[in-house]
Order: sequence, then structure tokens, then C-alpha cells
Amino acid sequence: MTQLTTVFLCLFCPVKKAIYLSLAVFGMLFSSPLFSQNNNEMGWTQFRGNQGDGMARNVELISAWPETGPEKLWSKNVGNGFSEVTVASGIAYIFSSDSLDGGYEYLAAFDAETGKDLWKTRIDSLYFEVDGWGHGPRSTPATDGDMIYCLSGRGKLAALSTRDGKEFWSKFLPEDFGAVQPRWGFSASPFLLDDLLIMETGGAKDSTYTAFNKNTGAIVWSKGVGGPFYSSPAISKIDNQIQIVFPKDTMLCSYNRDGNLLWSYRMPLQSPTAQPVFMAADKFFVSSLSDTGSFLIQVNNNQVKKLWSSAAMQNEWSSSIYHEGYFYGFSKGKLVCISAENGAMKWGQRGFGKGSLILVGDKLLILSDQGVVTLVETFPEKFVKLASFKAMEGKSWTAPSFAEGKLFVRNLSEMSVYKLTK
Amino acid sequence: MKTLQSFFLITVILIVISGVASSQTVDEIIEKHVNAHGGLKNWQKIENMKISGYFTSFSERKPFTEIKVRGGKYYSHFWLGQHPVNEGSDGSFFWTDDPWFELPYARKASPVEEYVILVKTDFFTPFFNFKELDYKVKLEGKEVKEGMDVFKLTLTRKNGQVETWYLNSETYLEFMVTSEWSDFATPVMQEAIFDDFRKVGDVILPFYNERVFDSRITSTEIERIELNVETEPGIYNLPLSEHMKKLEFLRGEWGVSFEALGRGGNWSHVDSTKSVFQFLENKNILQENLSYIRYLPLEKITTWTYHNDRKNYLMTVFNDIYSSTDVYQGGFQGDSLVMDNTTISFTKDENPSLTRYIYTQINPDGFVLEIAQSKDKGVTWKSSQRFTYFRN
Repeated sequence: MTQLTTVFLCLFCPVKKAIYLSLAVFGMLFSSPLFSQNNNEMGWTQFRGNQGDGMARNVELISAWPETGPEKLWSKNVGNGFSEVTVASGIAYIFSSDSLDGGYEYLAAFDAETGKDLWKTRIDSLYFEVDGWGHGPRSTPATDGDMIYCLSGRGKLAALSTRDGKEFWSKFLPEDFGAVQPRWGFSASPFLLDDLLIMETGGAKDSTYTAFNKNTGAIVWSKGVGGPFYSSPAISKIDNQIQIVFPKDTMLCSYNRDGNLLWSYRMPLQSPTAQPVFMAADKFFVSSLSDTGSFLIQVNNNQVKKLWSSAAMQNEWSSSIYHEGYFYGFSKGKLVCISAENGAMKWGQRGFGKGSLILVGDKLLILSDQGVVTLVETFPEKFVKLASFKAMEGKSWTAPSFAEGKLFVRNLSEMSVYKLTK
Repeated sequence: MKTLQSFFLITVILIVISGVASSQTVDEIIEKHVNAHGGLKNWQKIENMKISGYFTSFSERKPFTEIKVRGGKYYSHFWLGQHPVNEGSDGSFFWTDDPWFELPYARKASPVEEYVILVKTDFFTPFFNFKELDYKVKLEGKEVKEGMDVFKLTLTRKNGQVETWYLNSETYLEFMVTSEWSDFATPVMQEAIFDDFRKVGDVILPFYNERVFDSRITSTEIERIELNVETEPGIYNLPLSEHMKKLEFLRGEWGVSFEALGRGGNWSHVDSTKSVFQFLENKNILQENLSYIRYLPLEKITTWTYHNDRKNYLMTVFNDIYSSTDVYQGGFQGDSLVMDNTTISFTKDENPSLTRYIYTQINPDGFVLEIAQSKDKGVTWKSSQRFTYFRN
């Protein structure tokens, strides 16, 4: 059953209809202005969540955790990989690897509630990180409910059925686009936009950014110049049209759905790995580990205006979160809150290492690089910790996912699922 | 007019007061800082510290150990990400054994690495004996750092390195330092904070430290600090590479009996002499000085190194009577060490003179060196000289 069908059927159920309508109205009124990629409201259907902003909306968390932490539903040993856990319609997808038989990357599906194995499909040979930082895939799969799309560390883009993991189509970026594997492996995540699958393909001959027909893999358009990097497209509705924004080197480029370049902007910093963060439909924030640190721009009639820049926020690979006038993110070893009005530092808190964060409801969920989950108030005046627990052992560089009331965390050896709602 | 006079008077008084306060404060602050750490008297009782706990770098949390000795000797073993690193100093020579540089042995530290090791030799804070070490300290004032009222001091080490220290204005303990640091031997600026102060014996020491430099974050969580412990004296010196350690049987002073093979095929004693093998200080080079008489007085200086790419030992033999240097290469073959020049030629032609040094009968009290020649391109060898080494 497709998600569209699910929604369609639900709309004829009076109670659910009311709930969906309420959610829709609430969403229109209060949610981020980012264009909604799909209708799996409760899922975490792609990199940084349904809308690519690191947020799970309309959730009321259990904020008083026992000392031992919240209820652990299940955990599994998984191999090396940095991909976030993708969740849709009660299924959790993990893109990982094993080193058996020379090493492969695989996409596996589990029952999100119980961890029961559903299917596992070999995607590609293992991306082997020569210095031992961590092998396996980097990119987070995206799903529309029927299909799931993933990019291996060596550059194989594959479309699989969510039902049984059967591969429908695939591309190999080095061969099909002439892309050269970046130092840390292919890392950009695919984004779904209606019938399009948007990817940074990083190819030669004006094929850096590509829109595929998500059903067939046919190229709808391919544009841009430059090799692959580590950031993924960000999508918003600006000036009443969908805009797909790609950061690369020192440039931000925006394309419309048809692949026409709308505007480009030379950034005051270079090669941001963290995702751009929209604070409004036409205003977004970009950050990198640099002297400039971060900046906010406004786009109007394809004209870009820089509103401010701030060295107080310097994201490395972990992306920031916007919430009610403030950006929260990691900057040189500290979790930092800055004002969205002028970039001024509000507070900074150490102790999370190279952590990551998401927003669930109105609370921040911080994952430290040592696997400790901390619940933090979105309070701009000071850092307020509500609770914390050790979720995993070892280096934890992958941002958590939150879906269907559950927290999904993974590192280079395990994934665990915790119940965080009643 | 009266108001103006009062204003000037108050201003002058404030300037005088602040001047007096700041001139007193430098020494006072450091004295209070030292007292906050347990006082100079207690600190002076400390000869060394053995510290152990966990060091996290590249998000990998692994055990570490370090030993600091009064006077500057230092040794540490820790993990930098997935690689084990050793560092040390004998008080004047600074070395590091860091696999990230793809060198499988310890080497001399670069200037910035040397500075970092020097900083690590501090008993946590450089202010205890800064005058003795000829460091200069200046009070820059008072400010708020990360919400904390702090005294800002600049410390200039003897080598000219300047560090900015921030001391908690209430406790006088160190809160933060900004200074140069090393990121894979590249100088970068770092910001380090200190926390979790605990009592160890009679002194107070920080059990937590976090450093941020460039894109790196490291943290040190101390679990145990032992004071005035027995330590191995040799650990502060640059350790020999694994391969050079295998040549340690040669080290020392030797008596040497020199024999030559006569025409009748019998060995005959030629000279009795002495030899000294020694590793050059802080280097992976072994050198022998040997003098003997064979018709004329002859002196040989032999050096040994290990060539990591060739995977064998290289030996140079300087013969002063010919004023020449020959090069040999080889390694252990069973119980013998065999070095020859069969594959070394300084011309395009084949090596016309094939010579082999064979070290045999190796035991703690001695060994035998035979020097042999080949006339069939190394297929067969015939010994012509024999040196029997024995402990004096």
C-alpha cells in the first residue's frame, strides 16, 4: 500500500479524517516552511527527517527518564556505516556494511517496533576507509513508502522495493557520471521531490546535480559543475516555487523543479558539510568550520541578500536546528545557541564532543560522540538539561532519527531503539 | 567648578587604587593560585606524578598513562584515534613515536611538538616554579569568560611561546588556557579548559581537561594520580626502533682478538685490541670504533642503520688507511648476522670486489666476526679475517 493510498483511505475514516485535517492545518500554521517531501508524517523518511530539517514535529516526549534511561525496545549489531536510520510505515531501514567475504554494503529492513528482520539486500562492495575512521555507507536512504533509494560509499545509487528489498534500478556515479570518489567516500543523501529523486551526482560535463525519475531511474535533468562533496540538496518553496539549493565549494546554487538555474551566490565560507537550515521559506542559514562560521541569507526574486554572519556557530558535519528564533548546533566542541536575528551567541555547553542533534517536539535530543543521549530545553537564555542516558558504547557520529514515538541511534557497531513517547 | 575638582580627585584616586591593586595582584593571584593547588610547600614535595585514565581523540576513548618528573623528564602512552602514540623527553631532547606519520619508530619532535611536550611536563600549571624556569607573567586584567569571572594572565615561556591563562577569580584555579598546539606537527591555536579538581595527597589537581584546536576535540579524564612513584629510568629517552634493538647485542666495550688466514689455511693471531659499539644519542644509529694493526695501524668506523623501505640493515665501513667508505646491507640469517656488498655497486658494472661480514657465535659474552670474499659473484665465500669479540 502506498502512502498516498494510506492517506486516501484514512481520509474516509471520520476520526482519522479529523486528525489528519487538524494535523494538516496545524502543520500549515506552525510547521517549518520547508516543502514537505512526502506524507509519512510520523516517519523519518530521509536524511535529517521528513523535511530535511532535523525535526520531528507534533511529538510529546516522555521527558522524565529513569536513571537507567528510557525503555529500550531492541538493539542489533550492525556493521560499519554512518547513515541515519530511515523509518517509514513501521519499518526501520539501516544502511550498513559487513567485512565478511571481502566486505559489502547492504540495506536491511526491520520491524521498527520489534527489530524483527524483514529483508536484507546487498548493495555494493564495501567502501573501505584506509585510515580506519569507519568503513561503509555515509549517505542516508530516502523512501516514499514504496521504494527506498540509497547511495553506497563507492557511488552506487540504487532503488529498491520497500516490500522485499528487490532492486529496481541503479546507477554507478563513477561510471555513469564520471564522478570521482571523494576522500571520505560518496556521502550526499538523495532527496525525494514528488516523482523526482534529487542527487548530487558530482559528475563531469555539467552533471553535478541530477534529478532522476524515481520510478525508472531515467535522468530528467542534470546540471552544474564540480565533483562530489559531502552535502545534500536542501529544498524549499521560495517566491512561490520549489527551489532546490545545492551548496558546493564556495557557491550556493538554486534550481527549480525543471532544472533551471534560478540564482547562485558566492558564500563567505567554503565547502560546508553541514546542511543549510531554513528559518523561513526565503531565509536560510549555512555554516562551516571556518573563520566566517555561519551566515544567514534571504532570497527574494532570485536576489540574495546576506543578513548577517557569525563566527559563534561553526558546524562541522553535524547540522544545526532552527527553533523559534534561534539556531542550535555544534561549534568547535560546544553545543551552541545563537540568535537568528543577528547571530549573537546566547550560550555554549561543552561535554558532547563531536555530537549531533535533532529537535523532537520542542525539545532538543543531543547525541554525544560517546553515545550519550541528552534531552535539552530549547531555551535561549541558558542551557537546560532535562535528562540523559547512555544509549551506545563507542564513537557515535551519526545523528539520531526519531519516528513513530521511537528514538533510533546507531554507530559503527550497533543500533538501538528507545521508546520516548507514552 | 567644585564638581569638576571632585571629579578629578576621584578619578586620580581610582587610578592610583587600580594601579596599586594591579601591581599587587599579579603576585597575589599567583600565590593564591599556588595555594589553591595545595601550596608551594606541598608541591615541592612532589618529585614525579604517574597519571592514568582515558584520553579521547577523534571520538575514540582509550586508556592513557603519563609520567611527569620534576626537572622536565616526561613519558606518555596514549591513543590518537586508532593509533597508539608514545611521547617523551629526557628533559632536553623531545621525541615522539606517532604511527600517523607512517614511521615505525620514534623520532625527534618537531618544534611545535617539542613545545607541546614541554607544556605536558608541567605539573598541570606552569605557575608553581615559573620564576625558576625564567617564565614571564603579566596580568592583563579581569574579564568574564564563558560566564565566569576570571583573571587573564599572559605567560611567556623561555622559548618565547606566549600562553593566555584564565584563572577563576573565586577559586584561583585555572579555568582555561589559549596557546599554540600541535595538530599532526602543524602549529594551531588551541583552547583548553580544566575541571573536576580533586585532592591528591596534599595537592589539588584537575581531573578533567578538554582541548579544542582546528577541527579537533580531545578530552582527558583522569582516573588516578600517583605521586612520587618508582619509574623506569630509561623510558624518557628516545626508544630504539624494533630493528635496531636487535643489534643491542653489539653494544658496549669489547676486547678483540684479530686473526688472519695464512697461506697454509691456518688462522694466525695478528693483534689484540679493543672496540666500542654505541648508539648515537637519541638516534637509531649504531657506531663501532675499532683500531688494530695489520702491517700498518688501521682504524675502522662502522655505522649501522635499518632501512625501512629496503627492509634490511645498512652498514657503512670507513677505513682510514684507504680513506674509503664501503656500504653493506643484510640482516639476520638464522643465528648469524650477514652483511655483504653483492648488490651494491657505485658503477654500472658488476661489483668487482665482493665482501661479506658475518657475525656468528652470538652470545651475551661475545661474538665472532668473519670477513669473507667471493670470486664467483657471491656463490661461494672464503673467510680471510676473523675478529673474536669478548667482554673486557
